[in-house]
Amino acid sequence: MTSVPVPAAEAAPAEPSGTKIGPVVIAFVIGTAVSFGLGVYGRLHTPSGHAVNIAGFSTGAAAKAALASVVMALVIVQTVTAMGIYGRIPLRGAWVGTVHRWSGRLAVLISVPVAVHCLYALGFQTYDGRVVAHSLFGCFFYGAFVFKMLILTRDDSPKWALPLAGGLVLTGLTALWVTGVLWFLV
Amino acid sequence: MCSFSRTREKQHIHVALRLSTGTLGGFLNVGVAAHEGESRRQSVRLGDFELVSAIVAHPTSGENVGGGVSDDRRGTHPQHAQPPGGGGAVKHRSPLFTLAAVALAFIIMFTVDVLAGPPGASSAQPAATSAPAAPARATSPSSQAGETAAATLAASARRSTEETKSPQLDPENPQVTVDGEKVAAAPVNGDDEL
Repeated sequence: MTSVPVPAAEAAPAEPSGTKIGPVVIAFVIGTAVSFGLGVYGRLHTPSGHAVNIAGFSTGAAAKAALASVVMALVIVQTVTAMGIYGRIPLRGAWVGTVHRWSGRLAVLISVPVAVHCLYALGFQTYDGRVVAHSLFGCFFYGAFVFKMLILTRDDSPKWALPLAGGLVLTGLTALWVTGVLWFLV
Repeated sequence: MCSFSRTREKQHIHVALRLSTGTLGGFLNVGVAAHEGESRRQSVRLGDFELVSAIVAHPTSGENVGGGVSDDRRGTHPQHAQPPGGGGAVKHRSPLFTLAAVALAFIIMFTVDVLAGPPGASSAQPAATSAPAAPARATSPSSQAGETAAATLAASARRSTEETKSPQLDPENPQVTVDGEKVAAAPVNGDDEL
């Protein structure tokens, strides 16, 4: 078997000059460390079985389902505005970026009580396939979020890095919602 | 937005008033940027705002050729790689503020949960409904006439301790049993939500 060397310019589209892969790798490593740290904490921490609940909900699970659904709705807004930013749908104007940023901030902040309840009260559990997936995606989501936030601080990231990070965040949260809220409601 | 600019001999001079708002509510970054020489700069503070003006001199003639003020943030920020379609303004510090805010929210929520303690540990919490019957008998009218008041108080204290340690059901998730020492939340049927 012979192999024909392929010029780099043909193997992959050339990135604009000035882009650096190093910061992306560093951001990825930090995000992975965050995911791993959350998982280790959830596994080693003895679940308390209780956590502060939000008034107005019948159970803690109902409160978490409601908050997670709000987060999911905001993530849909994120997806739509991101498609507008990248020209996939006809959304124009500076408001698109503003809505994208603030919907993302709100989504992550609203998700924090849910995540803390899961980590502190229940921990990283493995007694069921759905629960394992939910635990893994929970850790994955916050790692992907950190990855994306760190990429956003850089001008010299490759063009594919930011959509990739956003896609990872979207995937993680959608999987979290399906394995948590959808299971709870159905 | 207000913008004043003037072009002279293909020398475009632009002075920008940069406004930048961070996630955690607001710092104002005011600066002056000029493509050419800058001769005089003045600033005045109005509360938390600082207004900066500059008179820019032509590099060779020395003539004051232009000055301008703009509050267009995107025009003064270093540009991120812009996707086609525009509109994707990317901030450089605000993601770090967002990260810090999320980390702070995690810390606050964890602290609140740790300080709140289990449902049965709070003095405002009503006594557990699953308290064992045996301690209750300890405070019932005793058949032993010689029992002292101190013994009654001790029995009452013992009952209180035993009530605290008695098994309880998690009010948020009745399928999970929480023991009084907060050491375990055991899934009973293996099908609990996370």
